[in-house]
Amino acid sequence: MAVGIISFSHTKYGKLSEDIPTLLKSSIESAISSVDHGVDPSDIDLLLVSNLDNQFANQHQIGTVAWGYLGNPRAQAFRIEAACASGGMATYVAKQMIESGVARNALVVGVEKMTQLSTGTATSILIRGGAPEEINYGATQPAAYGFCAQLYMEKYGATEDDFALVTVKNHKNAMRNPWAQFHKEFTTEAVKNSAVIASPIRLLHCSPITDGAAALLLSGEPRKYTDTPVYIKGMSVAYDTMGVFQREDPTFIKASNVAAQTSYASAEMDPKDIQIAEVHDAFSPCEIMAYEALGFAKKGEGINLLRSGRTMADGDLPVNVSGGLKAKGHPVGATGVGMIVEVYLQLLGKAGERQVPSVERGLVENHGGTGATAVVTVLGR
Amino acid sequence: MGAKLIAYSVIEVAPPGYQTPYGVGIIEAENGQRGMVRIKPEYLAKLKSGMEGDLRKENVDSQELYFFYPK
Repeated sequence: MAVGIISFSHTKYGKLSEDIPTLLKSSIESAISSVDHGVDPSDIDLLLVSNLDNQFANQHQIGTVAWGYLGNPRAQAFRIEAACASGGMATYVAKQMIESGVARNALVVGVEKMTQLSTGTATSILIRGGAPEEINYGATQPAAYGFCAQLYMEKYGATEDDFALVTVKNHKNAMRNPWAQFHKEFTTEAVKNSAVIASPIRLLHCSPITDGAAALLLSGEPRKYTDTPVYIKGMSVAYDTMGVFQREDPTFIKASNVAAQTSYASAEMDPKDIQIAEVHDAFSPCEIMAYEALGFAKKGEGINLLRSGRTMADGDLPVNVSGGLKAKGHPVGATGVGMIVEVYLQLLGKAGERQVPSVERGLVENHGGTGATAVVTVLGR
Repeated sequence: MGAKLIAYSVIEVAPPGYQTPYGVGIIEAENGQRGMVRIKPEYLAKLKSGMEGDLRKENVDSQELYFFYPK
């Protein structure tokens, strides 16, 4: 069975005035109402809500809250959490449940409200994405990624200029994305001079605290609902140790690599077949490591791929044309869903000003923690 | 117990309750086991990955943590 995407919804990312129930309601209504041939809510058997933290949401039973807006009393609804990979994981579960016959059509809604919290409080929530030992020792997410970045610099000769280039590229891309949290460009020097958050991670390497929602409607019979579905050609989940300190090679996102290999095999594609990608640049160095995990570059050669310009918006393998987590924003529960929405729109040729010409195959890499959970999705027409 | 510092990070922005800056690191102990350490502010300026040091267990807010003391 080929599971396809038949509609979507997406809010602007940034500071939103709407509360979680309002965002859920509008996302569900928008995704349902935008199906080309229409869909009866009674045909949507499953509703999955991707949301990281109840303290952000201030709401328990969030799946049931969403269920109340669907219009199908017989639908199943529940929340999925896998740290920053929550959105990818919810989409994966929806696909699996369609393929297993549990659901005919499944709606995935990712949502997060974060901006009402202070940076300190948000940090105290986000740190819980790490290993218990990292949490006990006060190793924040930037610090845990800082270990990886420092080791990558030492092992492969990456420089602060390389990390800055990822930020500069993604902020430039976000200028053409009306949904992006930031519409502001930075110079390499500005990135290199920004405040240290947890060495070597600087402020302008960090994805922001963001509100936002995104939704995808998946179907096991996509052509019944639209003449232009985008198919999930391959999708896989893989895992690694929770702690960076437990890994043989902290410079390599092994979970993303394993998930990518499985997804490529399902899609009968190779990395060279991918024409556009959205990767999980929660911190700018991650994007370079993702190139290697996904097979776009060999180990240690991600910096060369970046420096070559091939992953720029006008390159032959544009990465994070949306602006990425860094500049589009990172409303954690919505992030993975929103990344798939971006590639879906690109493949449909409906990405507006940021449209990359003639793309038919794309990839999304969404990972949680410092790569302990990874979801890789290969999409095609 | 001796240990080698594999990687470290100096944290400037932390959750409430932490006094910044402070250091965290990954060490490899003499027995080959890897683990986490905390590093006190007075040692942050001299940190280098690969450096040798001593591990001492100390009590912080009712929990025992290993601290890395550079040699």
